[in-house]
Amino acid sequence: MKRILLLVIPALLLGKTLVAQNFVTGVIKDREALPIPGAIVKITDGKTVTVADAEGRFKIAAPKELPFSLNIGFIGFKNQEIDIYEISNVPLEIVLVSDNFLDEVVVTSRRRKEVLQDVPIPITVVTGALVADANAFNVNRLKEIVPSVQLYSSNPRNTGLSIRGLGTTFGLTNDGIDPGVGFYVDGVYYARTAATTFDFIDVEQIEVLRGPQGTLFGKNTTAGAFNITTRKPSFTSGAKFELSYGNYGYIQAKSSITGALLKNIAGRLSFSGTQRDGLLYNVATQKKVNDLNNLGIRGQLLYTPTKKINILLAGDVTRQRPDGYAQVVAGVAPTKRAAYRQFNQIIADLGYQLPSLNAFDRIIDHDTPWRSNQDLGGVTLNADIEVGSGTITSTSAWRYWNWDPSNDRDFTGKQALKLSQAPSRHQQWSQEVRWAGKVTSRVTGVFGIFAFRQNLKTDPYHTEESGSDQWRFSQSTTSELWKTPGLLDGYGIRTTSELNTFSGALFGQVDWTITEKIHLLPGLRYNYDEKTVDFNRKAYGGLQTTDPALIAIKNLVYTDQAFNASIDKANLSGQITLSYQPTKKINAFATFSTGFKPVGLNLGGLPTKDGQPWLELAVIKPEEVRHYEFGLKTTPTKNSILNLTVYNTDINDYQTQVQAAELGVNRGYLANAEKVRVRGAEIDGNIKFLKYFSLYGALAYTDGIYVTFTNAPLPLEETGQTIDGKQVAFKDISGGELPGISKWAGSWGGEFSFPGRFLSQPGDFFIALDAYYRSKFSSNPSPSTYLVVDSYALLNSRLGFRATKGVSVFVWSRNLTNTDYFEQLLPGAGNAGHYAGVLGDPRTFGITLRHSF
Amino acid sequence: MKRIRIQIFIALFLCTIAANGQEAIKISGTKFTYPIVEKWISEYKKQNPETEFKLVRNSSEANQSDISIIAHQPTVSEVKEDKQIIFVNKYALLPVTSISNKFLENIKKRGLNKKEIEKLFFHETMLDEFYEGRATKSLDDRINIYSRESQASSAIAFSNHFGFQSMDIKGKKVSVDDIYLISSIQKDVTGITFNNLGYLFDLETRKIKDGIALLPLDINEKAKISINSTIDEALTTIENDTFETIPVEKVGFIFNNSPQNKEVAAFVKWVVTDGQKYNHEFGFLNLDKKLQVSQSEELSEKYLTAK
Repeated sequence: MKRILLLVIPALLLGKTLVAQNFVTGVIKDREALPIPGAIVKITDGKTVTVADAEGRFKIAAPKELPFSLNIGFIGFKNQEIDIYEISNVPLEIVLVSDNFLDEVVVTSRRRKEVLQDVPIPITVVTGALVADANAFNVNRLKEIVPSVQLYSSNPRNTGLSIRGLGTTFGLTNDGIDPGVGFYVDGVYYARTAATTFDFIDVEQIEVLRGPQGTLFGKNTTAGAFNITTRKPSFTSGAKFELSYGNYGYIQAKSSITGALLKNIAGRLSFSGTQRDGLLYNVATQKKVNDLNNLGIRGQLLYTPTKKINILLAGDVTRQRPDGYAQVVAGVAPTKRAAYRQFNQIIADLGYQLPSLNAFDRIIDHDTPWRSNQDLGGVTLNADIEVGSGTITSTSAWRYWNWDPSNDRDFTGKQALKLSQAPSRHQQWSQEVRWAGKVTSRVTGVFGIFAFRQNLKTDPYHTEESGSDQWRFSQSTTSELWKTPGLLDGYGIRTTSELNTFSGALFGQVDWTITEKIHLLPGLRYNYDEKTVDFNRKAYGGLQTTDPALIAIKNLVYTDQAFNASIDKANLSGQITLSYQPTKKINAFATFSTGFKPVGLNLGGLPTKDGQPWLELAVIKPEEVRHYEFGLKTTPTKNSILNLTVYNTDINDYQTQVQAAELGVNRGYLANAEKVRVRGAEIDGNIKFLKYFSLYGALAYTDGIYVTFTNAPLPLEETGQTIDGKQVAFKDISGGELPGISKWAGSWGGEFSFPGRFLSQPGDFFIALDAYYRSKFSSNPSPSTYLVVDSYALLNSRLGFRATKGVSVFVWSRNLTNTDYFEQLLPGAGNAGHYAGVLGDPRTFGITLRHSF
Repeated sequence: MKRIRIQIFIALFLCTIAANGQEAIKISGTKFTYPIVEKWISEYKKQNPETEFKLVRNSSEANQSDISIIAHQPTVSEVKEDKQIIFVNKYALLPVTSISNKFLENIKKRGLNKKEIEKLFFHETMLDEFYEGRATKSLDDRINIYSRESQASSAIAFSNHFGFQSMDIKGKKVSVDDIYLISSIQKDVTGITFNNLGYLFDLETRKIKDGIALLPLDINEKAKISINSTIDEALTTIENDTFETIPVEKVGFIFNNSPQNKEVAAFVKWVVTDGQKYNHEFGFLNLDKKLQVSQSEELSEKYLTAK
């Protein structure tokens, strides 16, 4: 017995010593020496976490290797990091200081990590955490957080992304021009705006740069840029799973796993899948349409041969198979055409009734199936190499976009347009090499060279095909010949086109410290663009006849068109910014910049003039931008920021997509407006107070007009206008509003969060509300009395528990007040008078479960 | 054989108890004073071999020490009614960074004044002066401040000198010993910290340790040169002058004020008299003569004079 005791006692003592050596103990208090129960203590390798007990005491297993760091935090307090070089059995005494300060936002838009308030560019930052919590899983949902952003999407191809009202054309997309808003994901330019409809996968941060940024980015960004960064592979293992359920059968699953694969190689694999039932009911098919059916996967490998070299290989694939993007008839405008050509008369003659006269009944009667199949993806190789006082970055990328749609563009159950399909295949290759760093002790800069090539072709052709009822919609005379059986049934156009473009650029911007408080930032951009297009449109089908009168009627509907063009153009543009920081709390800056958007090619067909294709419009002039801006970024207190920007942008030869009555250009066509101007003011701020409250607000005033546009197509209600007995198709809309711009748009909201435990895990409970308002805006390139989207306000909310590590759970609702609103209005093909609306989503709500470890 | 083993074990156990029975003077407290305290003990023992000492390194026994060492102005709770504090020497704190810190060149031009040091260590905003003439405010260029936990003597002394509390020092903390603050700035070239001369200088070569550089201060040229030359010149300069940018604080021994506490008092008296000659060797400043004399008299009178 004694022997046992003698053996056991030393063993216990030894054991106790070993255990004591492997733990760090301590007590966490506030400034008043009161304990902070629930404070989170983490080893900074991220693997070990513990929580302080009711007396603020903690005990955490120490890693084998010294030194290591502890990170101690708690909501309402500033985080404290402690380096441990030696394990002591004397408990640590840690004092956390109360934190009402705003977290410093770090941006990389100027190709280096900087504090947002120090950068003389108006930038809005949306973190990946907010994207996830607010269920804003694509750019479209982001616009409710950033009021200077406009996004219109009647389907992925026909997506317009604008900043301050400028960027992409309004209405249906024309593939022949470059967007003015640069959309960058991890440094790769996405040429097709359709790509912006992808579901975010593992997004870390979104920076929205407002105003021209041509001297910072490879591809042209005359209106602004989205700089999206995703989460990178980590050598510390981690995983996150997220599952959301909501009404309308909404299910979204996201997962992400990362860790070291080899000594110098780490990987990350991310997945996102979204499904939701349709929000409209189609009486023709007795099915719901406009569902969501998206899958995305992204894999990354990070190789770090030395501390100064990072090589990242990334690949992503997104597959979208929604039965959807149907629009619903939103109203009928009387046109100036004869009574028999008015929409209501046409459908009465055809014995047809719309299924509902209230768009918000969300009922449609569409006989042509809706389909919006989309595949996109690509591969990127990015290398960051620290050399001397800077970093060289090389980004090589290949991306593809395959688009397979089907639309019912007459928006009725009658067969006016039987087919409207524009399947396309797109590939792009880009290479950017840039250097960012210090030139001298007073000068830093970014210099880059960029090459980009794209090929966009029909797959195999685009089809617009009339159905049996087209004769009545197109009937433009009282001739009985229109009633000829089968005259227009199956009569259509097939377009084969191919666009090849090359864009090369040299760009650079320096930041010269003149004095401690004054910086001058000149930038230059040399741009070379080359574009070739082959366009061939052939009419087919319908009644095969040699009767010249019948052929004349067919020609009124569709005609053959063919043209090709090859053009190239070089251009030099630039900017200069003067920034003045009298104190750390104020950063004032003024910018003047010029921008340039290369020539555009009309890829949606040309309108006719005197019965012939208007070939002059095949190539439209480049756009020239002159931009002035004054900004003030202030940090009035440690817990608040307040920023103000006023700007004026003048554009000569503004490239716009206009809408016309001709069925042959039912997608609209590109034209130059002689001059447009957008001016506005933006104010945004954040404040954090009483430890647990944070509020934000952003208000944008935007006034965009056509200063001069003398030759614009008539708006819907003026279709058929005659002057002195002669039909006119164009009007002077100078002074009219630019489409898609609300004079006032604002986002504001706040969060109240407080610490607590849920399922015995530490974390914080939170409740958040976000509101968004925009005033009415014109929804047609030529201002129309009818195509005006009324003002609306939305309220989104969320409530739940965020675990520091472990299971988080929260409920959310979007459009809490179930407001009915249109996102966009579009005239029906041929301007019969009816117009369709892209409906905003009704109230949606759901629950999200997230597990991270 | 078994019996022998058991007997050896019991003997060892009893020896331990016997050793404890000799009532060694337990000393614990501010770690950076340990090198000189060890020296004092070894020198004192040469004259008083019967006195046993135990310098407590790493234990919660610290609370039961016979002598607690502090290196900041004591609070009432630290020197309770039954305690006595005797100051044994002084030390100075100087700001220091890595020799590779790219901002060093900027500061070398004219040195930091008191306000700038306050801004550097206590204010949330970046020190503009640091970036003077530089084009960038990139985060890659951001400096990191390192200091000890808020209860550490050096952190308290440094903050109090500039009118702050130790918890106001921004940046990262480093636990257990001020020596690791040097390790931090050797590891992080953007790191800035402060430390006592005994840790800043190599006590063998008497020069500043390799890889680190003192942050130049806005003081007279002669002082600037002497502080940067050898530890001995630095000590002499700081002892003979007062600089608003250089915190100087006293090191104190706290012990039980019972008149029977003679053994401890005898040692402390030796430290404030004979022990002073080792101060410079270990990077400490001598006590002011007046204080030295008054404390010595007080100790003699209270504890060492037969009544």
